[in-house]
Amino acid sequence: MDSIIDEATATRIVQFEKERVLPGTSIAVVVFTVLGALLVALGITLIVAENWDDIPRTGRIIISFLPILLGQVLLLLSIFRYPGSLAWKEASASFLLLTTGATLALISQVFQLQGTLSEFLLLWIVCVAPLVFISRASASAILFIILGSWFTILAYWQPVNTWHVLWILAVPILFFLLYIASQESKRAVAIAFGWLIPLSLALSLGHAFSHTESWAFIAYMAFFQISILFSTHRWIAHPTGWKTGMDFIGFIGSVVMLFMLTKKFFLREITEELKWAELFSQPESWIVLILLVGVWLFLLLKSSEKGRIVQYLFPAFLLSLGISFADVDAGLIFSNLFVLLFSVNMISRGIRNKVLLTLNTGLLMFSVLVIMRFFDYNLSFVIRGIAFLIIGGLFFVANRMVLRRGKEEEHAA
Amino acid sequence: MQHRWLKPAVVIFIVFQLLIAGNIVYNEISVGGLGKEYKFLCTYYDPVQPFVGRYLELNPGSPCVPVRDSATDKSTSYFVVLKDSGGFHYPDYITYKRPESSIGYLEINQNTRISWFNLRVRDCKTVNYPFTRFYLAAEDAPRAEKLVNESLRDTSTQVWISVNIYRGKYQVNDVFINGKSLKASLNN
Repeated sequence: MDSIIDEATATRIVQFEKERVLPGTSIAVVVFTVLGALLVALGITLIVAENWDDIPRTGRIIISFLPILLGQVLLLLSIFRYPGSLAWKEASASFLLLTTGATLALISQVFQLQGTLSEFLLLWIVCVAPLVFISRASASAILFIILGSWFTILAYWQPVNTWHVLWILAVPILFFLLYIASQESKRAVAIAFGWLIPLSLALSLGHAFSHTESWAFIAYMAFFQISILFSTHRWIAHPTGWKTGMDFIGFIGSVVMLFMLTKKFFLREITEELKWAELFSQPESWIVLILLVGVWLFLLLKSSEKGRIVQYLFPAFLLSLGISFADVDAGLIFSNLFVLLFSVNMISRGIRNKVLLTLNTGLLMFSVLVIMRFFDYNLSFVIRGIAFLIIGGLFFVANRMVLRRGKEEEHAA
Repeated sequence: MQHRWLKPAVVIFIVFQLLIAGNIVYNEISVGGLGKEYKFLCTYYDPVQPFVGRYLELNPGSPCVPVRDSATDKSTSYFVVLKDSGGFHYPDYITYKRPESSIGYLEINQNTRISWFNLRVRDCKTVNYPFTRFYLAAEDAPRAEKLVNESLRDTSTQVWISVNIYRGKYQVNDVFINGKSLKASLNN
């Protein structure tokens, strides 16, 4: 059999791989080192907690500082002594992030500090935010995102009045997180970022519109579209890793928003409640909205994948709203026709490209649209029954068609 | 490849973290050292509230206190001026302007934005004291809860929280049952 490459090239490739995989840089080593760091941090806290009350206050203050000092020493070692080691970088950053929280918690216990959990989390976030920039470690960035998400969820029930701190932190951190996440070349970590970042942002976005809820609808649509567009960019090191989460969240969110526009009562309410004066009375609302629309436009223009209908859902969404301001019924017809067109487009693309997921998603959307309209109008059971039979039949026929084409092409090859 | 700014940035970051933690410790030591002791009687609390983690949930009450002046839309906290009555302390009135340091008062943060409702001058405002938790070792918690519960039900005993207050800032000292520290009661 002919070789694809000659022996000399093969030898060079083997040599290159051997030199490339250095000790401490394989993903398994990094993961287990980080896990070890997490467990050690938790273990220190638990051991100290055992005889806490028997220690005099001065002793307890000193012990409270030990976890954070240890974390800082490890961070200094990783930067000054072992700058090339990925395992050191990831483990020391994660360890410091957790021990900072442990120190703050221990100090709270020493002085019987009251306050809500959301206030504690905000203080913890402020204390570790610079670590994200300094360490550029993926593990600590992931932990930081989890911490931030926990805070934003809690803050809906336990609000804090230091929101200006959060907004000052949020924008640079967000951009930096996106930068380091986009440079992440390991698939597993890219997948984690692809899910965590959009979920976390989706949870947080509501805070900017707590007093302008109607405008949140538009902001969320822009955000979901950004999710879809983001992973198509050339500067993402591992686009397929990112796509898994961002595409899914963006697509589901966009489709849900579009379906909401197909309901008359919702369309009427939203057009009545959208008021410019309300938006501009809340700086955090209009700034975030302008930012989202600007980012969406930028990503759309720079996208490396053009021509996908899913990327143009936001203009269609805005157009539907715009038409509804003049005439709600006209807007309703437009949004229903657009959703119909979108689902038919997905069905045809699924058949053309032989992708079952796309085909079935399109069929599902079509079915949901038909079912929703059935609830709006008084149709007889016979007509509904016939319609469901037709749709069910379409599912079988379309899937079978795609599978058969795939098999024919395999045999032809 | 490391950037030139990384090493000084790490040092600044470490100092920043230690300053924040150190500032908390310094403030609390100041309140403890310079503050005056105030005693707040505890009332019976909801027995179905679970003992969460390592703290004891207490209820110093939620009185409706007269308001002397009105809030502004920038007010993020209010001040509860305290009075002594029979060795225990109670809220006298609420003001949105910080009182003089010679007067004993508590600063309570409002975590919700001032709405048009709160901007009106109202007759009284419900005060939610910020100190409702007392931390202690997990193994002492069940006994502490039982002891405090029984003491609160017994009308002949008094349970109070001792709090140091200095210029509106507070620090919880201890819980007392008829003048005896809770910790001492648990050790007996």
